[in-house]
Amino acid sequence: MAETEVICANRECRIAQGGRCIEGHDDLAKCPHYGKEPEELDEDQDDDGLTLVDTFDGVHLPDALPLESGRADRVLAMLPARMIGVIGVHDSGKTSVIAGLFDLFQLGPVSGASFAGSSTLHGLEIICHDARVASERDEPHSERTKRGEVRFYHIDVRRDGALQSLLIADRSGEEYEEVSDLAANATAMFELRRADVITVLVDGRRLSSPSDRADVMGAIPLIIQGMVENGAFERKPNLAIILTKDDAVQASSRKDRVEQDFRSIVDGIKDAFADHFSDFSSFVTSASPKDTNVMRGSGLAEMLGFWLKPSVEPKGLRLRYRNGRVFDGLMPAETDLG
Amino acid sequence: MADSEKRQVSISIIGLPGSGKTTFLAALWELVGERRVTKVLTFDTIGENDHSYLRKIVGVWRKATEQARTRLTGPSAVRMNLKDAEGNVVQITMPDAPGEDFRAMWEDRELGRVLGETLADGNLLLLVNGNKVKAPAWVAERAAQRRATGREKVEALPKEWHPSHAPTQVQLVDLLQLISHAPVGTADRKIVVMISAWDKVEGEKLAPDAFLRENLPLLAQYLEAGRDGWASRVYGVSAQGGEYDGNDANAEPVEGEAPKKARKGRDADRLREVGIPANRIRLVFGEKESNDLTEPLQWLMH
Repeated sequence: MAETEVICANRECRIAQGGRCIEGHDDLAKCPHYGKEPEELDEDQDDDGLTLVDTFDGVHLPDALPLESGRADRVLAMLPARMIGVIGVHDSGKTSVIAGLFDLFQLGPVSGASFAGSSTLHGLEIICHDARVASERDEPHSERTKRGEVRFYHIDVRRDGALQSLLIADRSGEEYEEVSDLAANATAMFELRRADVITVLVDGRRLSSPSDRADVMGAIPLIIQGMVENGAFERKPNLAIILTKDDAVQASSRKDRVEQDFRSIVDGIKDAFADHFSDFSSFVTSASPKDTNVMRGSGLAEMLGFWLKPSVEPKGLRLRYRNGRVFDGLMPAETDLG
Repeated sequence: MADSEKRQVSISIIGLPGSGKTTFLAALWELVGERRVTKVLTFDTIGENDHSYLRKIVGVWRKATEQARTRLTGPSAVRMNLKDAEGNVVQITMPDAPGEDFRAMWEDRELGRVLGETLADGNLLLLVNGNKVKAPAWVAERAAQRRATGREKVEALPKEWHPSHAPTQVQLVDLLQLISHAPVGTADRKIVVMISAWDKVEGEKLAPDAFLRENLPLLAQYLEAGRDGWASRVYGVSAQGGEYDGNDANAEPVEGEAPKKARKGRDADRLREVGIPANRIRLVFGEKESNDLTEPLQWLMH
């Protein structure tokens, strides 16, 4: 069978090299860039028409900050990869879960996985900093993720003899919250469409609070509903539901009630959204405890084990792309890549 | 033997500031020139190599004085013509770059052209000061320790993150990752991790590879996971054999005060009395101990 040249207007997309659509579209007809030629760039001049002169005699090394989508896509093409979407409202412990996992690797292998490298070591160290002694803080703190483009933390691991990449998406909690206002707010969240595992965070500290618990329990299903309606989970990813800040739960006089409420949230999500996910699991974690009443990073190793668990093979992709050439009319109407 | 017939081998000595690179080179130069000590590689000829830098640092080493930390210029080209037991002559090039150059790779994401050229290929000898490993430490555990001991925390404003705050193992993993990928270098190389100041850490009763796993677990995992194809060996080295006298050049001057005198080393007098100075050197690999610093070089040559 003759092959059609695969082109994409997004220069950072590597679909032509056998990668996946950078925007996460399984149905490529929905991607606004696929099948179009990239626009010409004038690389010699900057916006002012002046040539920039760099006087440094050496090599500028790649930064080690969280990756924007283009660099994340290049990582995806290098090793078998798992993309993790972490959904949580603001201050639910999203950054702490990522930082806490990296901190566990600083102490040794985690859940049978050895650290094999990372292109985001500055980024990981930055989010670890406010819980570290070097910050000179009185108690651990975690910086909120600011609004803006999604960024990815990258950790390579070797497990059961095989190397694989983990790309963990980080987006501000406020943006996820807004999906419950309007499902269309999830349209730009391509990290969810591409995710192998969706991880939903339930804030243990707020669930321990009598005034906040009802809001926590009510908000999460609506966010997932908005994403489902937007088609964010068409690939049927696995779903992990995480209770964060277990140190606060354990210190609370309401801990039995919190555990009961968490079970109720998990059961509710499973009942309502069973058709949209391949596999479910729930975990109780304490990524960055403020006290030593629970073990640092408890529950994260189990969570990582679930993140790395292979997904059910996706169904064959259907190519519906036509660029209008007569030749394409001779191609089979549907091609099964599964 | 004409220079053109010699095998050329490049081994880069790398390490963060204070890791003991220069001391290692000085001890190696002392050893290869010492005919009374058995080793796998011996001195062959001076040839066209300029040994003035080596002569200078070995002079400081022989006096049982620490090397000066003030050299901030680019890599010193160090070349040695050595021969093995079969008489094969090799010229080993070991640029001794200031630790600040490696720190700049982690902190400033910059690599000078000359150092970049030396790191592009060849095998590596990574010095890690075993007595200065900065491990990650957390606020919550430190606060619990203070409560247990009744100590008060000194009031301080929170500090913003800076790359220098990162644990030693994170900085070293990044360094090796950079060296094994474009635009710096290539993967699938050999590396000797040399834990220096071994006399200060051997009280932990660990073999060097176990010390690495225990004290720098992220680096140990990275090397063992093999993503970047490193073939590695871990040694412990006491290139001085103990604590030397401080170097006056390293004592920080304080304005308006008389120059500080460098501190007296605990072992310096004893080590000056060792009959053959090269016998001050101690090298540990697994359960074995010797003073043959050329043995890891021979492994790196093949």
